[in-house]
Amino acid sequence: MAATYRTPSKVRLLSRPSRLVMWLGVAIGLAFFLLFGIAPAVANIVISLTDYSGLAGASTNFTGLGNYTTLFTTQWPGFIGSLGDSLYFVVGVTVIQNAIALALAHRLQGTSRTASLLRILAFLPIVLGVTVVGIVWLLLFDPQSGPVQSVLGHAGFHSAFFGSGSLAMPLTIMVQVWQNLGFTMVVFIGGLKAIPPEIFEAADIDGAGGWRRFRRVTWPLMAPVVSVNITFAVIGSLTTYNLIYILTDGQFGTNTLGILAFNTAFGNTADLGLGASMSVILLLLAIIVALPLVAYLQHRERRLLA
Amino acid sequence: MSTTGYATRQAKPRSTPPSPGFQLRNPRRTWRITTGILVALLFAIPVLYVVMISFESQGHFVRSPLTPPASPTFSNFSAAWSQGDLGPEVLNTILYSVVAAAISVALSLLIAFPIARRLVRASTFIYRTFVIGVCIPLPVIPLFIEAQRLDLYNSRIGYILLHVEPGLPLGVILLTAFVMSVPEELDEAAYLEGCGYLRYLVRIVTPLAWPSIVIAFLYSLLQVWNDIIGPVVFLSDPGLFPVTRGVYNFYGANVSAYTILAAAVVIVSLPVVALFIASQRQLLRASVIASR
Amino acid sequence: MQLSRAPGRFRRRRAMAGIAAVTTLGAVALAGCGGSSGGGGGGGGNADSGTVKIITWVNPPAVAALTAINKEFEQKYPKIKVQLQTAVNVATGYANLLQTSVNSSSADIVTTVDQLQPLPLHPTRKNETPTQFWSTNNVFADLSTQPWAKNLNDAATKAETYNGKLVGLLSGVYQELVFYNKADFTKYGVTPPKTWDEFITLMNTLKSKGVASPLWLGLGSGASVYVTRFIAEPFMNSLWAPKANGETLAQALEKGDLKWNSPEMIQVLQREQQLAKYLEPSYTGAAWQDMPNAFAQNKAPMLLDGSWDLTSVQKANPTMQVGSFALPGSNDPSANQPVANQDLTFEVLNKAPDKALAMKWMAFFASSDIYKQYVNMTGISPIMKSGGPYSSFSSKVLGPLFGQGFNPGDVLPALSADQGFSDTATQWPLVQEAVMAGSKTPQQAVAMYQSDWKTG
Repeated sequence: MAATYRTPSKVRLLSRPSRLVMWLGVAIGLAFFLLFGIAPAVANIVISLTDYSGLAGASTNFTGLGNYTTLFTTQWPGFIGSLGDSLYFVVGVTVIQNAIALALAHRLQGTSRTASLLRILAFLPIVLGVTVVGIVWLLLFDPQSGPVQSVLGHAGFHSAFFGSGSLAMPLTIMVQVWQNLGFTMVVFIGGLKAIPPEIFEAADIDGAGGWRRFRRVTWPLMAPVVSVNITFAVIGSLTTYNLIYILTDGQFGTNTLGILAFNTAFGNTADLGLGASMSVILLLLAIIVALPLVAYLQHRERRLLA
Repeated sequence: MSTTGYATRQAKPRSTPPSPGFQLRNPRRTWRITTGILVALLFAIPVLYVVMISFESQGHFVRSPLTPPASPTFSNFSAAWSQGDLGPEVLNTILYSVVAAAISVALSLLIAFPIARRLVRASTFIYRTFVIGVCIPLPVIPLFIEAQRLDLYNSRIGYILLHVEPGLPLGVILLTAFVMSVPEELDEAAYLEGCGYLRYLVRIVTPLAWPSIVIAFLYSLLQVWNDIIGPVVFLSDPGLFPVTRGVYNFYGANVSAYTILAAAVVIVSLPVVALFIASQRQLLRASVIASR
Repeated sequence: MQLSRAPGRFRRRRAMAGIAAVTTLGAVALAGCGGSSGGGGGGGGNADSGTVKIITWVNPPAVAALTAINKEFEQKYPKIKVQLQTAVNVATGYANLLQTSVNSSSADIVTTVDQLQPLPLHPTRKNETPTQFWSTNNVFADLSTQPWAKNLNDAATKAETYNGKLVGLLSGVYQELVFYNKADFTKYGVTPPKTWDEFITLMNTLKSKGVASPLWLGLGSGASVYVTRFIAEPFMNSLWAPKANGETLAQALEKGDLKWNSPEMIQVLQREQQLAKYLEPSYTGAAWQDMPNAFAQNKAPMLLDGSWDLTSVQKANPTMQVGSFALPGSNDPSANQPVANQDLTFEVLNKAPDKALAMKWMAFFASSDIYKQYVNMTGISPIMKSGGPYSSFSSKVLGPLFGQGFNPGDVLPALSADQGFSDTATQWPLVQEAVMAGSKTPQQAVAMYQSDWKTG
């Protein structure tokens, strides 16, 4: 950190009122970040060490690591199971979303009007909002009157879809992917467009066919955007649960850690200390997953682009 | 799509380099058309289906969910409109998302510029904190308590303020990266001419950074737009609900009224889709540059 | 501020001081601003005008009845408005609404479905339901001194009293049993069964006459608990409860006098497995809200449901003739009874923003004309000492069974968070769903129940 602070001469260029404004800007911004980001994260840790119930009048006792012991030793509220569900969800969403988005990016990177229109269409799900998306898919897969059941019923297939222990998670993954494809695809398109066409021409001259060119040329050169997209997909699917709340509320095998922590604190258990302990674990997981992932991907980026 | 013949297209020199792998052979073209249609279907069919059933009567839907309505009706729309509070909910959603995202982006720039120029002590440290901040999931439990203590609970202003922070980390990262690419000589020239800090940021830096700003703005906006946990935890007055919670409640009260539900979904999506189409060019341009 | 001329360390200190000031300000705000939550604070508000806010879950007949009653209340008290806020589903969406409303004191009257009594043998934070925890922690106002409190019958008073304080107004009990389409029974020439064997014969007869699914059940949209309430509890009551000597089955299980892995419970689960063969194919995902309509449209001759749905059935098909019989788990007819489940209890928050207005509303609700209106509109079974006669559709459908049944709290002990995984309220029915679907055997299930069970 030695060489980070600029010499006074640069700062002196700013007039005094300007300096004040600059400091104020930084202070307000940091205040928001501290007050609504860092402080609550720390508070989560503190609450997780108590049996806080949310009631102003009730007594709150310091329980140390009691909540964490409960999570790992007792089967309730299903913490170990939810770790499995989270893993399933994160891996499923990340892999599928990125694979399909890459294919879409390849197809829709052109400048033609059709490609532009289709690109816009891919953004429709995220713009519609999570409730609309959730309700659309719940309607489509309604086990009584939905069109999917109607079609499959002719083949003799019946399922509760979002109410079935086997299909709920795959369907939820599918809807999550469907909603987020647009963003991921657009980032990939950016990456594809950043590759100079001469490289492709060189590959063509060398006689590389479609798939081979992709593996040897396109894929390594896309390393930076792949990093970005994978990181976002992992963090996003790990920490957000808005869609799951609407589709299944964590039932039928879709009980990821986020929704379980939320339901424990704000649901029929009303145990905020326990919910906070799960939030803390979720935070640790997010950091543990994100940092090495970013490091690995950056390393790979450097190696491939060196 | 051009309608000129195959031979003509091949003979005409292209103004832009061909997309990787685009070879003018018929099977290729069929493949492109097929995949194009598939992509369109993938995104459009679920939504179009719901639009279709919003014009059907409940009886028709239950009997034959797959066939279009024989006689389209608007009764579902009037029922949905009168039963739900859809109009105010849409306005709430737009208000919350736009204002929170705007504040978030503005603050991001106010933080990013000094950090990128290293005008503040511990700039690197602050930057690294924001990098970690991207991964922090929203800690709703303490925020719920905080909201009550600070009187932000169940108020529009409070709700907006609570949603400023999630967009900050990405905004700071994007804008810091951008500002670093702006030569410092530009700053110095501006200051020497007597241009104040804020004026410099607003008049010169913002237009330059516009693509990154749009990305940060959209990211923050979409987060608030798609938030249902926030309204459940921080709002209790139904008049303040955004579309996410409002339509979810409507769904709960009308689970078996499929067609009215579909109509409600269509109603709340209309303004959004309209806005979206209107601003599509800007969105696309910005998002293509975003990946840098 | 001579920023440029001050030595480096002063600048550093100033920056750090700035950040520290902001953080301290935040911390002080967090710590110091306590108590300014919600509207008018503890029990305040004008006694003449304002808004009474009531929260409840989506329970169509009750919501419709309350909406009508609220209109009449507003007519009687023109200066007071009533806001009824509902949320999806008592187990999920409404649980969120209830929890946030209680913690932030942002509602006046809340409704709960958990029974207060019986409390667990040794109540702790972990084994109490939220309602019990809140009742024992002064969250709800004391209603014992209200003028209408004397009108509640003994069962209703006992159920909602803690430490001598009445904390809730029980609105009535709902009965859970099998409803059948009388026209269908006549058409297929069958009569309501009184024993298990008769029931199986009946359903086989219906199947042979072309009815693919004679019995319908809707567990979707968060209603897995219906396995407990509609099937498990009646079976346990008719097959096992008679074996508990001198105490209720719930008490015996709680103390450990009877064990889960006993032949009676295995028989309960075997009968559930058998029963599942006659249910409609995707019953785990079929929304519970869809069942009244499905029954009214004659998709099934029989429906496992609670009497709260009868109003919806009647509305969907006004001329339908509906009958009912208790789910006969046992071959001893006298052992088969419907479940009489306490429903919708109204509580007033101690810190309600408009507490005086809320009390006015409660008194209005409990007055004999309005209460009779509520009973007739919702089809609930009444809990007032005097009142009636009632003319609801339910009273006709239930006939001699109206108001009859066993208290499920006497059969099934509290499945609290203190128990092992399989014995918590959410997981307990899911294990049985697995048995019904064939992915677990009854023996495996009772072994899970027993190994996870903690007595005392």
